[in-house]
Amino acid sequence: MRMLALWLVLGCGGTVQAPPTPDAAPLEPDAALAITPSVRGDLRAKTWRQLSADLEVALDLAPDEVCRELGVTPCTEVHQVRLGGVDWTRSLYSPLERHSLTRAAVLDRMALAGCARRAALDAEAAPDARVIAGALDPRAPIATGGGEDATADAIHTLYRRLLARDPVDAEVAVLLDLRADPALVGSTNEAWLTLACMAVATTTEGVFY
Amino acid sequence: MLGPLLAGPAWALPSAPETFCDVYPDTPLCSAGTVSCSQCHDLTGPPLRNPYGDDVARAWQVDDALERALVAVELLDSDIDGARNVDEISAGSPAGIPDELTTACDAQQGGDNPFYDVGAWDPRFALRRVTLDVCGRSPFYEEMVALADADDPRAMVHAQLDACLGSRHWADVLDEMSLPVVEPRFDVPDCASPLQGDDGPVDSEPYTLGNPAWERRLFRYVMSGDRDARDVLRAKYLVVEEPVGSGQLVAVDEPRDGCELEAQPVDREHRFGLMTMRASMVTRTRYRELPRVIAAVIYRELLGYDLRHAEGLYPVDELDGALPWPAPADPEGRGVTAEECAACHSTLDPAATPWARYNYRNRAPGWSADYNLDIAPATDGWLLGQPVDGPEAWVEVATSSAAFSRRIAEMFFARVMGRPSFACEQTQILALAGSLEDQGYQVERMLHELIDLDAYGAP
Repeated sequence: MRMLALWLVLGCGGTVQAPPTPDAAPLEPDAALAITPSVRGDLRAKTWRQLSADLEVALDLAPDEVCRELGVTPCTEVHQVRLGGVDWTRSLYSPLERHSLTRAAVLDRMALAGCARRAALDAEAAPDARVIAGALDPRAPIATGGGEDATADAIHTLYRRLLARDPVDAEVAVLLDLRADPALVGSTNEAWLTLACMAVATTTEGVFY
Repeated sequence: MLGPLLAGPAWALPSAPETFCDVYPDTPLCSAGTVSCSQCHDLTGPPLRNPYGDDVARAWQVDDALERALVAVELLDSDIDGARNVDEISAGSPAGIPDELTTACDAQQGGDNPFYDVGAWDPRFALRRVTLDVCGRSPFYEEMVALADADDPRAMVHAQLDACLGSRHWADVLDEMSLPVVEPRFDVPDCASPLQGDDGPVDSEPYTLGNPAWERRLFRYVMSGDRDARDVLRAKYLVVEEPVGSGQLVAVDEPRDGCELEAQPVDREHRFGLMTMRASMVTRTRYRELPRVIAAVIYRELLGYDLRHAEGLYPVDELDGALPWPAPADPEGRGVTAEECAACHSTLDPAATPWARYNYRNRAPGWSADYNLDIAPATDGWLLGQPVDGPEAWVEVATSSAAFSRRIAEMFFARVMGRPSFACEQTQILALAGSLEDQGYQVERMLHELIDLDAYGAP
């Protein structure tokens, strides 16, 4: 509906249409997770060193396995300044004071690359050697190859490795529901594992502290 | 344009910051004894004024005492940000720049959170921050479980800090923190990392402009372990990495070979840490007789006063009233006695003069008793409002000052918090600075105090 309204505004000559109104009411906080906002709200963004270290350790990958641009240069080297680093060879002695617009894209890039790599390695590994899949067979069609328990165990593994805690029931439910996402129709557990891993790694909790 | 129209008493000479602090001695803005000119002036510097400065100037036209003019405008909201001038000054916020007073120091109201003890120091939150800041990684799940079972969670957080202070990540952090101080401009082969030729390593004749890696190692060394941070300016030794590539830093009293002698070209008596190492000497001043640049950089990076923003002005009239304003002697004839120049140079030049015997130029850095005698017959100068008779006194005043310890505290606070301290946190910064002074200027001991702050460990 919103796109139709926009088309009407842009595509028709003459009559000016009213601006589109929000399609739905603002989301209300989940009462089950009711929390009081902190007056501080003072978090730091992880830098390139911390992000790469966390992905390497959580996904059991070597530093050069997490993410490489064009398959050659480590992503942290290419995007160092965007991720809170410095470049003294260009007289940038202190980190940028504000986040760059591309920071979120870089975070997604690194997480997706690392998670995809780990999911692929787990797909080739024996069950007892899988780092995040555990009993879930990555090569099996989605929602099979281990069942609900194996999937839930994989979710717990992701949270423990990436966020150092166990997930709450609502968080497990969200990632279980991800299996039914239209984008994953016809996929294997490997695809779900990649996206679930990326989803957890790129949470606010995962990139700020 | 307003300047000529507001002549006479409305000319706020560089003594105005001290007057401001006499009127408001308890404001965090004056915790270091002086306030920046940007309290009244535009950030580009005098004579342009911000809205608060305009109100003060108008009041000053009516009453020729600055002290009374400041009081006269206290109840106004000059920057129209909803806070009265006196309230902003009391809170440590500039009265001429519209901003929102932070709530970061307010008491937490309510705290329903099943994950963290919001508003109070939380060991889970603190452990995560310490591990990320100092070890460079998030805590493991097993570490969080151990924390939950610990009899003394706070002690466990401190133990984590101790364990992480020896990490490669923290060494890299310290190296990164050295960059604004050292200002490296080029990468050159180190003595221990020679150029690689087709047939293997080749002798790398030390680059005549110096290798800033020596200064960076000195900074890392004095800011770690049980070392004294004041050695950043006091050190007579130089710092090497032995074994090469190990990350282990070792202090060497005297250069042992030609390469080390190049890095530390000054005789022991006249060595003063970063001020007199080769790369610092050669790249900071070079073709100027009076070493203003290195004095200004150290003034900014290690004492916390940025002269570019008219901070830390302690004007000295070297011309004994020859001009209506305090002015430097200007031995090089560069015109710095002009009023608009003297505003800063009356502080900077007397601070640079004590270093006049050091040859910071060209390819032969060093010290000589008869160097620059035409420019500076004596090495007497001034620093932070105190007379100094040479570099040794200069370093003593600098490293013993509240400005130095406060700057070190702020430097590390800003690093781990990812932001400068808020005005409402200045008392905590001062407490950290006091802790640093009380504990032999050992940064690592100060860090243990820092992680106990609510600012650090309270979500």
